[in-house]
Amino acid sequence: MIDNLRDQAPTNDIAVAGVYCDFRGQVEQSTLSILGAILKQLVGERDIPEDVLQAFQKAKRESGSRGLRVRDLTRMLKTTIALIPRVFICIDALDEVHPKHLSKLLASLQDIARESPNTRIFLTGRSHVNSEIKKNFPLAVVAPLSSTEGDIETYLKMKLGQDLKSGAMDGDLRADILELIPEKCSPM
Amino acid sequence: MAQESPRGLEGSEGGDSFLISGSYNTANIVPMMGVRGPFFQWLSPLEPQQRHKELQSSRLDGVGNRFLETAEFRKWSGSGGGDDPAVLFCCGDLGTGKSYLK
Repeated sequence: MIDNLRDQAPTNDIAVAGVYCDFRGQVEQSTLSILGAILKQLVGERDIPEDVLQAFQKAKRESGSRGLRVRDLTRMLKTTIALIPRVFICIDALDEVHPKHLSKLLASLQDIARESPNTRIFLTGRSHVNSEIKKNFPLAVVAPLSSTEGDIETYLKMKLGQDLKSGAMDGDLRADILELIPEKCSPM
Repeated sequence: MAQESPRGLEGSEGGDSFLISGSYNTANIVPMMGVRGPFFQWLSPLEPQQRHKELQSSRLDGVGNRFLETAEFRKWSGSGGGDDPAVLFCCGDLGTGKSYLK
């Protein structure tokens, strides 16, 4: 997804940020660190906006602690996004974010999207987070994804190609695998 | 070591230190590369680019392309602002390939 979006326009006109969530990393994946990771990628090689740089310098001077709050990061994101023609934010596996962070994260994204109409947000997750998303984004478009038979066949062919014990495989078994597994895996 | 001025910044990485003291002129020539590392560390410990690279290298060409051709995806990613939806939620069970969409 990120690569596809990046290919859409010259680098100066577009910024794409992506975060992959994983329930195994819930402690590290706080609202703050997710928003921070998004901002890092949006800034990328660009000049750091003056206001944002000043906030960093001030925090460095004042204490050893990170001193960042969700409110501050949301503001920094808005400032940064305002300088880029088109911004895409992708968050994968939203259902794996700890529930206490999820609502704050969505509220922050809502705030950003409201003030920055050049922002597009792509979220993935299992269907149960849909109700959380709708609280902040009632107009969100929901697109269900299921593996197609073609996807599964492509994957199986790759795996069969990697099979080192070629003696165990014959034409019939291969044909059965390629026929039956995609059929059983696909939605009715 | 010089005293750190109010405008000073100290790089946290060895060899990348850029302690500044005194004049504004000196401060103005702080190399951005020197600020960037500590600035990024301050923002977040997460490095999603690493996961992105792993997925990139294990992704198969063509998988999930049908999703990228849907009207929902095209409308969302298109450049026409205004009424176009800001949020696209791609939902699916575990293992349907959500992370692997190119």
